[in-house]
Amino acid sequence: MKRTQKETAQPPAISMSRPKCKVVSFRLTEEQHALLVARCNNSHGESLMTPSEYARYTVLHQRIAQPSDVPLERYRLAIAAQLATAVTDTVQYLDQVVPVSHEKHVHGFQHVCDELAKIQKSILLLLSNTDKLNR
Amino acid sequence: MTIIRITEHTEGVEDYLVHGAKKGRSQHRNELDLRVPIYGSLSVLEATNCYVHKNKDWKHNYWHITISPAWLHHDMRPYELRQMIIRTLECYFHLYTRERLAAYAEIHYPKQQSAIDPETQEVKQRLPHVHLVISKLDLWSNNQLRILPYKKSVAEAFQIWLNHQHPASNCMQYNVVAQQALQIVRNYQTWHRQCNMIDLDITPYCPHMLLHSPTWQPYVQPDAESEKIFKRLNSKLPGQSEQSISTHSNFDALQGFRQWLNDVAVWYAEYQTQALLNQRVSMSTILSAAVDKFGLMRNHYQVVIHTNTHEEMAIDTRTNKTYIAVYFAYDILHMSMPETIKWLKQLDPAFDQALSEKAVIDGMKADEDDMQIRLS
Repeated sequence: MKRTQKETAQPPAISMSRPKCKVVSFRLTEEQHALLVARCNNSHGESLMTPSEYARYTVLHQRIAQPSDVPLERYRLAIAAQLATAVTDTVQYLDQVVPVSHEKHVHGFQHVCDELAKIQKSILLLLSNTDKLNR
Repeated sequence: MTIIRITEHTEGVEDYLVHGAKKGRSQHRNELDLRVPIYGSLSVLEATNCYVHKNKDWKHNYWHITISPAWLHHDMRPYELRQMIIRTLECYFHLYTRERLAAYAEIHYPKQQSAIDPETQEVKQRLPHVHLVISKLDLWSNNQLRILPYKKSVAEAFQIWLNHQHPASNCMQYNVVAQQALQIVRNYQTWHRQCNMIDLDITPYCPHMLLHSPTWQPYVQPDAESEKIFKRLNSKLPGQSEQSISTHSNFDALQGFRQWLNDVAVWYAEYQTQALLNQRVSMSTILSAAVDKFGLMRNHYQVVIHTNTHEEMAIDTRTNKTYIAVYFAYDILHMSMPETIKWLKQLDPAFDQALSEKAVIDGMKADEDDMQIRLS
């Protein structure tokens, strides 16, 4: 069944204001440990919370933690960061490898920059608050 | 020696980069430095920091790395500094590919040449330096990144190796030292990797799931209403005022490259003007004006005459590098090329008249040459 944001518990807020100085440890079999790790992951194997956070939340709140994620927002960030890295690498190549020994090279570069600017525009679009789109 | 300093913080780096606000300093960033973005995008970093604020409760949200090359290498080109950043990221975040990180870097070239050391009260040369900021979020796994833990000997070895990557340090003796330093770093990285098995096969996003997600559909198949919104967002970029869009859209690696490209274009277009400025504007005048306006440390420069061209030049006594008028303003005072030309023109009130006279003379010469060609 598909989970929605409202139905799932938010990842537990782990307060950083006070140091956690007490340790509680317990032993698990291989299978139990695998199950615990699996409960912290989403269906794609991405870790949504650590086993410690899972155990802490479940014990302290007396209910089973439901790791949730805001995948679309993070996916958008991941795609935007990937594009930004690719643009940086392209700029590095242009800057380092290709010489500007003639005025006409400048115009060529400007054309490439205009094309890269279109990718930058897509990055900004990905980052923009498009809540209105997600009606 | 290139100095690398790593700190971690919760918030405020965007404001620091834009406004330069710091305890005990009243000047705005734009008065202090020329900002040249060279790596990543400030918008991506800002959005990632917002995401971390909203969804995580970490003690620190990002690392702030400052990289300061020695004065000997103060004229390093952006691509050399960018290479340095890539090497730094690959060293400290060796467990990850760079695209898993939300990282952003910009160079601060000092416009104000000197500053008073708050501890010793001595006047000191301000150096070009790089601010590199990396969010702690691993964008692919949603976990916190694991940076190479600090160890003094390894940090020093990395700095030695990094310093020797500069072409000026590339001699046989240094190469041996650099190789030894690199080995120290690699051994430490191997240990770190063995203790931290990061899932390298993880995908950043699951295209199948993403493409069929109802929230992603407006991007894939926008309906009329969505298209209208996209159009509006697009029309606001760049230099937008739309509140929902990042305020730092112009700060990315491409923008930094464009700034440089613009300087090159002006350099070609105004070549004659520059040649005349180099001839006419006295270096002593330039140095005096730079002392008044930019706090130049005059004791580091001497005026010399070039033996062949008879042009006045300034020699930096620390590096023995020489600069003619235009390159002094561009490379030392870090003005853009249009600013350089404008500022030097202001130092020579009769320049415009001289330029028009030169144009007339050049025109007459061209006519004479043309006539001679026709006669012959």
